[in-house]
Amino acid sequence: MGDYFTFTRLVDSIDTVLSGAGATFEIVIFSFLIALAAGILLAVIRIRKIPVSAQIVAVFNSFMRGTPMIVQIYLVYYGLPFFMDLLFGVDINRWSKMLYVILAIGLNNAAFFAEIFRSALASVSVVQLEAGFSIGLTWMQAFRRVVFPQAFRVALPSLVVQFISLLQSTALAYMFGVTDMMMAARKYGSKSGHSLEAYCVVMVLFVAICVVLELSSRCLDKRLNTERRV
Amino acid sequence: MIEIKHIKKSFGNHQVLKDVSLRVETGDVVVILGPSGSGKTTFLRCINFLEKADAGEIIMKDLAVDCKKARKKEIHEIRMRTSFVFQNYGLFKNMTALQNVMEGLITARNVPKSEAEAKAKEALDYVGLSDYYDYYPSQLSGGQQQRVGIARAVVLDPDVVLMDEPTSALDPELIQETLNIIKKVAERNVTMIIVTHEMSFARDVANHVVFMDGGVIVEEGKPDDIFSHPKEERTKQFLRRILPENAFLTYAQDI
Repeated sequence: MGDYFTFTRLVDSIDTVLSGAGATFEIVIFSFLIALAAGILLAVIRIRKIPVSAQIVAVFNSFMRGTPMIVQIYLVYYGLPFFMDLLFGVDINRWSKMLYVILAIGLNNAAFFAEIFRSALASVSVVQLEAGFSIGLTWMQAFRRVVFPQAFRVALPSLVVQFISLLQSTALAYMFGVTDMMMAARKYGSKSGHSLEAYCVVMVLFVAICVVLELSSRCLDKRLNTERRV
Repeated sequence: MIEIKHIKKSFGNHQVLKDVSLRVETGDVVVILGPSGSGKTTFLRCINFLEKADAGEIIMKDLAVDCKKARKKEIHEIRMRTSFVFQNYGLFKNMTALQNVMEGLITARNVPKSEAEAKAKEALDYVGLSDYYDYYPSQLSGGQQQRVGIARAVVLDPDVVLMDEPTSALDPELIQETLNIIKKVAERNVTMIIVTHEMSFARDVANHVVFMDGGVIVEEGKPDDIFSHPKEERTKQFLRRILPENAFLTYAQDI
């Protein structure tokens, strides 16, 4: 057996890998925020069936959900500077590489989020909204008090699953020169000549975050599951 | 007093309401009868703008609203003065029975919580659900759910309660208990407009009966007049088919 794996190096690599954690979290948080905001917007456009926009959104959603993430990042990475130059004459080549990745991951997940929101909102019967109006609630009040709490509970499990997938897709960022955890692991590999340990650390970190997310979502789900509580 | 004047409503090319007017005095219980598709439900929904009428006017005391030009504020004001009981209950599934009844008081009318709770409990007691305050709609039977729906509508003390076929989603046993509750409410001089297919209930509770067909009011009057001496041929035909005591005759005729 060659010298493939030692615990000393595993422990040793943790520091290096964690140095990339900041960038990973930055991508996760900002692309999640973009996905959330854009997802709500897209969902509303589709639910309200706004002419033309609704069709465009439908095409956008199926394109985003039907093509690989890596292709989309490349499209944004090379396409966006081209369009910005063409349309506005702005040179954005010097923007941080991370922005492209955040934008691409954000838009991709926006499409998924939009479909999750849409089906969750549709699961709350219209008559409850009407009942809200009938007792004098405004649209906002009825939405906030009646529709949203129920839709949120329906959407929660799918949202968490989608968030986990978003988290994992950030591992692609290193291909565009972002120093995230993956890049840090690679660096440790080339520095020490041993890659396995650092990648193991990356894996364990991802798994740990996923487990925490899933457990907390299950807890929340139980708390929100009022309809069946006796 | 509520006056509803010249309501017209179309869905696409189909005109559901062709100029319907109705005057309801305070304390009246008006029952609207008629075959399916006659526009009864649409008419009821137009009164509190769940459906926006194409033309017409709604007058409630000092408030006169033109249905076509109604502004948001006016629609809201009408809804604050009316309440609605739905065919399939329309309870808020994320709230308990008590919360359902309190919601209109707390959120729409800014009633302090303790006061709202007392009122809501009283309303639930009134419909016989004292033991079910903390039950969610999914834990209640259809009849119980509809009683919560009635409590939620009545607790707001509206100028008029609109009921859209309140018993037609219930099985025969539960229909009676629900009708009894509605009757109890009627005895408190609550003004109501009820769309129903329950003829004996209509006869018993209503002091004004309206028969609708094809988007117009065919005939209206006191229950005895409508049920025992209908003038219009269409009314006679409808009653012949639907009144239990005439069921045999209908069979005989059909054969």
